[in-house]
Amino acid sequence: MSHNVIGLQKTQKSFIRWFSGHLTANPLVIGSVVIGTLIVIFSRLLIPIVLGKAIDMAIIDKDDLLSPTDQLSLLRDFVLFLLVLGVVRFFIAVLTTFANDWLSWTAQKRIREEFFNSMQNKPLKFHDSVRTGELMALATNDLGQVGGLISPGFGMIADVFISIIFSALLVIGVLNSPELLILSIPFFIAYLWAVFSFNQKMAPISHTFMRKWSAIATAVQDNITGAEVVRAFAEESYERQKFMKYVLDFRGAWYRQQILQARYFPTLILFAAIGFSVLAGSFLIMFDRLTIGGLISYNGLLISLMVPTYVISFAIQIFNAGLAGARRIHEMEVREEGEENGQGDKEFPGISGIIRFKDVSFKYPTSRKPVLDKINLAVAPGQTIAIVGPTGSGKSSLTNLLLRLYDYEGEITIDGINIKEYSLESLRKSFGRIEQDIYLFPRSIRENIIFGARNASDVDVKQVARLAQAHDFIMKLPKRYDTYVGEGGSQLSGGQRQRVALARTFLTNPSILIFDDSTSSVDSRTEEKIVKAINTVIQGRTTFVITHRLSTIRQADCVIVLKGGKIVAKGHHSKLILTSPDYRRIFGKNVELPPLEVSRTSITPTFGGS
Amino acid sequence: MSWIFEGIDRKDEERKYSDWELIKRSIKRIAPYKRPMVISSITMVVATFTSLLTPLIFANIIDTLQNPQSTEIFFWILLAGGISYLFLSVLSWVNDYIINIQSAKFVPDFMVNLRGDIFSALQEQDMKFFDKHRSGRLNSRVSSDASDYGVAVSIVMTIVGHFLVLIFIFIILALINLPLALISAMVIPVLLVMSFLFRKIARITSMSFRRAHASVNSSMAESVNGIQVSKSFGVETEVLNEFKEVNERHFIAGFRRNVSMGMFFPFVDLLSAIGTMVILGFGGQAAISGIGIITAGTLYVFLSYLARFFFPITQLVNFYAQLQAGFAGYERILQVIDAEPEVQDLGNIEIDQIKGQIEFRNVNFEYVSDAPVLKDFSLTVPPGEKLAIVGHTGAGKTSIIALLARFYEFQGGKILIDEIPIRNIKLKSYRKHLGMVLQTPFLFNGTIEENIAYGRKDASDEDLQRALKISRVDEILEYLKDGLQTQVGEGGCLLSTGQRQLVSFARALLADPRILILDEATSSVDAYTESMIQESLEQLMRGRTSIVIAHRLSTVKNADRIIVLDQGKIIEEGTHEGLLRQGGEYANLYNTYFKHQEVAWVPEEMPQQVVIESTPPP
Repeated sequence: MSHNVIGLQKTQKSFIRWFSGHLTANPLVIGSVVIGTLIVIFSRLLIPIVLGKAIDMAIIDKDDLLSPTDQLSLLRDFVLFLLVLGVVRFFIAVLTTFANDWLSWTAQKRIREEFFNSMQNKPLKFHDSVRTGELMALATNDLGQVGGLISPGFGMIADVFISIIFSALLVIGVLNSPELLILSIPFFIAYLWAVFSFNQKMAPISHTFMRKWSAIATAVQDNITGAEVVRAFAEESYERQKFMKYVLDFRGAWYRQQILQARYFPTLILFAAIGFSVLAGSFLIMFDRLTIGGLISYNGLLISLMVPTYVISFAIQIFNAGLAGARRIHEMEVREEGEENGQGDKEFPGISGIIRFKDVSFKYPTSRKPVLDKINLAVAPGQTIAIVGPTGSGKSSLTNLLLRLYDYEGEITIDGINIKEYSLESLRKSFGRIEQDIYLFPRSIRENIIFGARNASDVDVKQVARLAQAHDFIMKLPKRYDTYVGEGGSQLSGGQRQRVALARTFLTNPSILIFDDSTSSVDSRTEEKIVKAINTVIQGRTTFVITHRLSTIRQADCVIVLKGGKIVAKGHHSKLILTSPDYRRIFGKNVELPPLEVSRTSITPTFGGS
Repeated sequence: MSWIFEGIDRKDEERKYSDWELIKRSIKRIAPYKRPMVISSITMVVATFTSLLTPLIFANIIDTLQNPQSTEIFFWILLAGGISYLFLSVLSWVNDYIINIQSAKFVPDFMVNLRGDIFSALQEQDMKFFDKHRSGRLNSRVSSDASDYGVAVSIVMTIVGHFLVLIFIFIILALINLPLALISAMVIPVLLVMSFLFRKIARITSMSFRRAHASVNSSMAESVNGIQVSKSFGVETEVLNEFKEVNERHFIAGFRRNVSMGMFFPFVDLLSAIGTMVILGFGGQAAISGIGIITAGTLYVFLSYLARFFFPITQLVNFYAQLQAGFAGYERILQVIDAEPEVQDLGNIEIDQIKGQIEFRNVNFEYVSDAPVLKDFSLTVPPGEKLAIVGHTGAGKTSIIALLARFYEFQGGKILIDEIPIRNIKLKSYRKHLGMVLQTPFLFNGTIEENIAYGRKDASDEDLQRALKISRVDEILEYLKDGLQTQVGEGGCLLSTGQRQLVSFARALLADPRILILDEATSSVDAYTESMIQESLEQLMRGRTSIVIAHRLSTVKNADRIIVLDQGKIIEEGTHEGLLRQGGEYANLYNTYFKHQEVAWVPEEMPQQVVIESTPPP
């Protein structure tokens, strides 16, 4: 427990350091924003003061000090002063807006870049546990809220308090009426209390409000994308019930928020203060303790507090949202598993010897048991290793560890050197990896192929495309190599995507190839092409392949069968077909297999299926 | 002039409803809220008068105080004035309070009903509707369209108040002093022009910002989705540099947008300062020289009314655009609510038990008119048969199962289930006998258990365990930390495709349907999972009438009967062996789609590879 608290304090501290670092990155601009804001507010408050003075001195002229001509010229001076005040305020306000937005948007830019970089450098373990949508929301919406906190959030909140202080000074200094000030003090205290207590009540309510709203959005999204399933199971009325529960829940939260909004006491207190000041002021005037202009000024000062008072309830929401957004961004950036594990500085020279797994264990945060449990494996250079096993048995993980996409226990060596001694970049660059769900970037085919080697010439691109059996179909596309592949490559068929990915990998000329092969089912001709391309690519390279192509599995130098985190069988197809029930299972029941040689297996397998 | 810009970011949509129709139906929607509406309307009028009265009373006090007398009456007059000012001040807040409370009673409930109606209407629709609207992001009907409409409705209610304020202010000012009233009113056209101008600028900068925003989003999505690729190739630096460019554009666009919007307020303040100055100048001059009957109090009234011009006018400027957006949203909502589904639940036969015989009798079907997919199509499937459908894309395979599932309505002929015309059977009671596993297995956000139990929420634990075992889901659960309680994520995205498929098998199995409809997934998985899926598929079909669109060799081999479909017609039928011997279209299809799935298949032109087939090494 106490450990947790210390941890929390630590993140809190690091958050404050991080956030204030970003906020104060540009002290000069901050200084001018502060000064500008003060001037703007002060000049706004000066207007009722000037009006009051003008009415007192030029218009009413109670003690008849001036002749009408002098009164008129004095009035002209006041009018002129108002004009100057207005114009000065205008220019300062424009400059302040400019500086404030500059501050806000440069901060957003900086944080976004930092965030992007940090996400890029997170290991895959991290990316498995977060959703793309979440990161996108952080980089745009949440960061936008942080921007809102800087401008206009800060200014809006400061407005009320600065106005109150300036007003008090003006009442004393210019209106010369300590009585008014003293009479206002109770209102002032009640006012501050009301502002704080409102925001205290509002914070949890608006939080629930947002949460319930997003529950509705998810429910609708689910229902629409799952429309077929809903109909297939005839569950429309259940869906309706579920949805109504969410909306009614939301209505409740909304209602509570509205009611609280209605009971916004700071304005009530302000209204009361205005009313009371007129009542009290009239009598002060009667006893000559205040001038008429003084009362008009004071009344104007209080009325000018009205808008900032309305605004502050918003402003605090903006402020809290911005703070929460910043916190979420920071949390994401410093997430524990977020550290890309250490790397050496050796340049990976390419492979010439054996790849060896020594007692390698690996576990996902979401898995119950280790996905890989003390794996030992040696692969000779140039060999092709096929990996088979049930879904989730760690086939992909095994290959991912080679690229150090995840951290693991145990040791992996290439040519006898621990791969952790190499720099990540140089290690990864010498691997070619074709992942399970092929991802093509929403760009042109050419840009996709040169993704790993951006300086490649057109000749090179065409050559690798030919080797990957992709050139022919590309040339038949309307814009050939410049054809846009669509979101995630959606404009291409599964077989085409895979061949583009093959070309992309081939272009970097990797010395070790990892092939997590599962493509959409294709017709036999395409299948033939893909297999041909694979066979070309794997020539002379150490290759790991996870596949459903039995022809590929059979040709592998060695097949390993993974189950329950362990290698339950290992060897050539011709051996495994006789010895491993697990291996035999993948051939299904439609094939006559030679009898199982139970006596020769060293591993006792659990034979699934009948 | 800003009318030119109306609809720039909105596509021109065909109007299907007249304005009058929209208004009529809006009134119908609002009608149940008569009470809060009437109360808040009355309060709004009271509020208008209150806010106009307070400066008048203050002015009166000022004028009274200019000649102070020490009489008792004077004292009482002052006291009465002060107290009524205080009273009206507090009343202003009470008015706001009442209006807010009434709107709390009205708005959330109104929106809940609206959203509930939209959602219910969506549940009535058949798949044809979803095909047509899928791209149109139906969920925005429930979220943004509904809230646009809500804003428009509530704006109509306040706009009347704003008009009232403007008119009364002018009348009162004119009554006091016409020339000065006219001078004050000059602020109105200036403010109008200024507001329109700013709207125009804001619109332009907002649009370019939205584009920049979208490109940051897609750039982020691209890099996150492609993170495995970027890492595998070790090109993070290049990707970061690309992002920096996008980010820079976003910065410029965002900065420009905010500055252009933020500039509006200094301009308004400047205008207000100039207005104050003019009134003080002219009014003051008149007061000093005694022209007209202008007193310090009058001057105060003018000055404080001037401030009240600004808010209503800026609101009025936004009014038209918001009303437009609201009505456009409502029109889109009505298109959902009013859409007549073709498949309607009109049948009244409840079927408790079925044998599972299916017959298509001379069925005609088209998705769009004049493009028949099935023509005079007949097919009988006896109970318990395993029927596989094969054929090229577009042959009509999916249409057959979609009609059987009542996703779409057919145009001619009959579909009979146990000799009962399908249209006469109550939809819900029919679909309970139907199990479907679709090509892209969709799971609902929630746990694996919730998903499996989706079709039968009262399933016993034994049944659940049995379904898990037969579907082989129990094997994948071993690898998941939370077992059955594992969250599958939106659409099942946290599970792999193979896992999702097995879960959807278990879901169909638990519902224990008599008829099983299966659109076999085209996306393959690794060899082992593939074999698991095959095994569980066989178990799933046992003892049920099943119709499968086959993509797997094992499925066609196991089928009792295969029909070969071409352009909506059955051109061949029989067993795998029989059809292969015939050497017709099936043999053709086999060579194209299935041959490479044979265990012994080896691609041609690969002389260098030595294939060892089931022969033990010497």
